[in-house]
Amino acid sequence: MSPISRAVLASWSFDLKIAFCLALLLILYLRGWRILHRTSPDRFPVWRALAFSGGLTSLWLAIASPLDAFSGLLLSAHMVQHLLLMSVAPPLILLGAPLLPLLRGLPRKFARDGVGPFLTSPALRRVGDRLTHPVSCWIIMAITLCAWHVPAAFDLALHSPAWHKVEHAFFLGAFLLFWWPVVRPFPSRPHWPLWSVPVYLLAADLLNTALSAILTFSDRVLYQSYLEVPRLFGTSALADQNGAGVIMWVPGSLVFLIPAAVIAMKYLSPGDRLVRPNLLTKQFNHGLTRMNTDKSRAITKGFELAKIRVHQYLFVVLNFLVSGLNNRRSKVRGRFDLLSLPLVGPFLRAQSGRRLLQATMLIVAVAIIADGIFGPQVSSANLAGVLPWTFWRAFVVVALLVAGNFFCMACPFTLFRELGRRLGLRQHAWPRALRSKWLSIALLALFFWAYEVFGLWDKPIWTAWLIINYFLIAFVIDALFSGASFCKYICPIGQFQFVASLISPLEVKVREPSICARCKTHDCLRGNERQRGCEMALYLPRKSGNLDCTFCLDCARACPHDNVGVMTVAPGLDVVRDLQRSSIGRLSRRQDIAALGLIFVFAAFANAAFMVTPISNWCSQLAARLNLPSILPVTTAYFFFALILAPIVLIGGSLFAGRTAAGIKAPMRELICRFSLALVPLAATMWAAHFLFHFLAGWNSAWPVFQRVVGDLGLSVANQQALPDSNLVSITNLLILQTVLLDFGLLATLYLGWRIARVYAPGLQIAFRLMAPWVAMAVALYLFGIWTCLQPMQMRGVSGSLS
Amino acid sequence: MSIQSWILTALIVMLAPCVARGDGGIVQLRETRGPFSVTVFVSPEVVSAGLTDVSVLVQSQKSGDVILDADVTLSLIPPEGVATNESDLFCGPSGSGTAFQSGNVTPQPLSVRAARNQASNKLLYAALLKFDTPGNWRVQVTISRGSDSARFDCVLPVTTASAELLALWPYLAFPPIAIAAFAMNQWLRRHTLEKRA
Repeated sequence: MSPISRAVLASWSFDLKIAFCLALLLILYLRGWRILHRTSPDRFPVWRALAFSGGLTSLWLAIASPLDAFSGLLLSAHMVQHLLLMSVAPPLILLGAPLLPLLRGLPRKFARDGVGPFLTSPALRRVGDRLTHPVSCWIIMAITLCAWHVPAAFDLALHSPAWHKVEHAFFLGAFLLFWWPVVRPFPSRPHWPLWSVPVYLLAADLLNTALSAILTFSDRVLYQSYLEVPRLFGTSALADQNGAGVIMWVPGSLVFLIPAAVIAMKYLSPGDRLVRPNLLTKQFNHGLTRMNTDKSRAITKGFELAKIRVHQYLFVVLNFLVSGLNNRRSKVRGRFDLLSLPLVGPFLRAQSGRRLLQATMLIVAVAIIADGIFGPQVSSANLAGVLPWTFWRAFVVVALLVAGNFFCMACPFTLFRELGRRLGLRQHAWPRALRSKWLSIALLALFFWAYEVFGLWDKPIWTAWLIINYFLIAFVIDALFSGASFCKYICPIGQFQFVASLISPLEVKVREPSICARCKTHDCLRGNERQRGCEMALYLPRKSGNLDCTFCLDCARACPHDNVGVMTVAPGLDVVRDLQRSSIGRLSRRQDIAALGLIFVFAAFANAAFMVTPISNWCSQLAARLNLPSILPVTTAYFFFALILAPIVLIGGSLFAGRTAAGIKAPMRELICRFSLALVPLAATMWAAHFLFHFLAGWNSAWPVFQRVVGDLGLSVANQQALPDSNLVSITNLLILQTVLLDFGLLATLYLGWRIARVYAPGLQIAFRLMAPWVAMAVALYLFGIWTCLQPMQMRGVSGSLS
Repeated sequence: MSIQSWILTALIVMLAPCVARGDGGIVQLRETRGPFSVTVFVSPEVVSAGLTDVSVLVQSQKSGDVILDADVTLSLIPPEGVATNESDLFCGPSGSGTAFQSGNVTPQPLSVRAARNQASNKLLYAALLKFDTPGNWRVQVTISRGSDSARFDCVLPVTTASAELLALWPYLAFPPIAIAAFAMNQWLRRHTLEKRA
C-alpha cells in the first residue's frame, strides 16, 4: 500500500462526546433487546439488533472515518458521508425497532417515572403522531435536503465546524423521520396503506434526481469552498463535483428504488395483504396474551376495552413495558450483585483477597515513605509527590463515583490493627464523649488547611511523615480501643470516603430480607468462631447506605446464609430516606454527620479554588497589603471562612429563608441535617473534576519517577523510553469533562433536594418555596465550580516548567 | 457471541481511532514557492485563551502530489510589544509546547514542529497552539525536505473571546434543559393524577 493510501486510511477522527453517546445508545439498546428477545424472540430477532448496531456503525463511519477528514477537501467524499447519514444509518436504526429496546434498556424507575409521563401525554402524542405522518415526513426531508444544498448554506457548513455538525444533525433527524413511514418501526401505527410507500419513495427519488442532476451536469463549481482548497489526487474541483453528483444520483437513487420495488412486490404478491392500522396491535395483543401471565392478560383486556384507536401504539408500548417489567421482576433476575460475579466475587469474599489488596497498598505506602525520606525532594521526581497527590486521589474519587468505597477495603492502615491487638494490651471501649464525628471533622478540616499552608503536595518528606504518623495513630488507637474506633471516629480519609460513598452505586446489602428476619444469631454483627462480625457495629438488616461502611466484607464472610452482597442501588437516594439506621440513627438528628457533609462540600470548592491563579494571587496581594510576613494568616482566614463561616451562613441562611417563605414548622436543625447531605453529589463531582485535572495533566510523570527509583535501586528498566509528553485529553475535552461532571452533580443535588423538600411540603408550590433559596446556593456553588475550572490552575506534581 | 462481547467489540471499534487531535479549518494561506506548494488551514476563529489548530498541506509544486516526509516548522511571532515564554503544558504537540505571555520585550519567535500524527487528516501536518494575547500574529511556515527548503509567511489575526466558555455552552445549557424537562415531567404526572381523580 502506498504511503498516501496509508495516510488516507489512517485519517480517523475521534469525538469523545459522540463516541460516548453512540456507545451509550448501543448499550441501552442491547440491554433492552436482550430482555425482549428472551420474552418475544419472533418480534425481536437477532437481525434487529444487527440492524441497529449496523445503523450506529454507519453513523460512526460517517462522522469519524476518513470521509469526515476529507469532506472539506473533496465533495465526493462529503457526498458519501451524507449518503451514510441520510440513507444508510436511519433505515438501519429504524429496522432495529429501537423504541421498546431503548425503553427497556433504561433503568426501570426512570423509564416508568421519567419517560412514561411524556409517552402518555395526549398533547405530546398528538405532536408525535403528526410528525410521523408521511406528508410531514416527506416535506421535512425535502426542505432539509434542498436547503442544505443551497451554495450559501453548504459553504457555511464547510467554513464552520459547528454549522457542519448542525447540518449533519438536520440530515440525520430529517431522514429518520423520512424513513419512519417506510420502515414502520414496531410498534408504530401506519398512517397510510402499504401501497403508498413505493409512491412516497419514488417522489423522494425524483427530488434526489433533480438535485444530483444539477451537480452532475453543472459546468461551474457551485460550492466556492472547494475552489479555495488545494486539489488532491489530480482531480479538478469541477470533476470532483460531477463525481459527487453521480454518487448522489446512482447509489442515492438505488436506496429509494430498491425498497420501493421490494415493497411493491410484497404488496402485489398473493400471500401478503394490506397492513391495516389496527392489525399490528391486534397481533401484538395476541402475542402478549400468549405470554400466559395474568397481569399481561388483564392489561391486554383493558387495552382492548380502551378503544382509543388513534393512540393505540403508545398503549402497546406501555403495555409491553409494564408486562415486561413485571415479568422481569418475577423471573428474569434481581439487581446486580458484585459478589455473584465469577472470579471477582470469590476474590472479594475471601479474607486472603482483602489481605492481598492491603499488602499491595502497604508495599506502595512503604515505597512512598522510603522515597519521600531518602529520595530527591522534588515532588515531580518523587513517589511521595506523584503517587498520592496525582494518582491515588483521582483513582479513589473515580472508584467512589463509579463503584464504591474500595479504598477502605484495601486500606493498609488497618493491617496494623491486628498487630496491635496481638500485643495483648487491654482493649477499652472508645470514650462515650468522643463517639461522634466531631473529632474526625476537626482533623479533616485541619488536613485541608495544612495541605495548602505547608504545601504537602510539594514536600515529599512531609508526605512520608504524614503516612508514618497515620500508621502510628491507627496502631495506637486500635491497640488500645476495641472495635474499629480509628476508622469510625478518627480517620479523616475514612470520613471523606464515607461521605462520598453516599452517592456510590454499590452498597453492601442484605440479599433477601426474609432470611434475615428468620436469623437468630446475627453473625453479621456479632461474628462467630471463624469470622468476626462488623467492627463498625452495622447490623446489616438495619443498615442503609454506605455511611460508616468500609467494604471490609466481614459481614459477608460471617453470614451463615450467604445472604450479603455488594449490590447496585440508586446513587444518592439513601440521603432522602430518614430511617433509623444501625449504629448511626436518623440522619435528621446527626448534626455531626451534617457538619461532616458540609466540610466535604465546601472544602471541594475551597480546595480547588485556592490553586487557581486569581485566588492565590489575591491572597498574596492581601498579605502584602496588610504587611504580613507570610501568607499563612491569609490562608488560615481563607479556610476559616470557607470551611466554617460560609457553610453556617449559606446553609443556615438559605434554609431559614426557605422555611419562612414556605411556612414550614419543621425544626431548622433537622432541615440543615437533611439538606446538607443533599449537596454531596455536587461536591463529589467537584472533587472528581479537581483530581482528574491533576491526573490527566500529570499522568506521564509516574514513569520517569519509576525509572529513577528503579535506577536508584541499581536495577535498570528494559525500555528506557519516556512516555509521550502529552496530555491524555486536550484542555477543551478536560473542561468538557469537568463541566459534564458538575452538571450531573448539580442535577443530582437538586433532585435530592426536591425529594427532601417534598417530604416536608406536600404541595408543589410550598416545596418550591422551601427549596428555592437552597437551590440558589447550590447553583451558585456550581457556577463557582465552573469558574474555578476555567481559571489557570497550578500543575502540581508534574514535571516541566509550571505556573 | 455474548452481549458483553458485542458491547466490547462495538466500544473497541468506536474508541480505537483515538489519536487524532486536530486539523482542517479555513484556508489561511495557499502559496507556491520553490519546489513546494503549501496550504495553511487554521481554526475558523482564532481566539486568545483558546487552542488553535494550525494544519499544513505540503504538495509538490510540479506534480501536485502530497508530500508526507517533509519537516514542517511553525514559527510564531507575537504582535508588537508582546514577549514570548514557554509556560503551558497543554499546548503544542509532543515535547514542543509553546505558549505566550504578555510582557514588554521585543517580540521573539518561538518554533513548534507540526506533525502528521497530530492531525485527523493524515495528509496534513498539524499543531495545536495557544495564543494568549490578541493581535496580529505572524506565522512562518518552514518546509524542508532533503536539500529543498522554503519559507512561507502569513498573518493570523487573534481576537479576544472567552473561547472556553463558547466551547462549553452546550454543556452549560444541559442543566437548565434537564430541569425544564423535569418540571414538565412533574407537571404531566400531576396532570395525569388530577385527571384520574
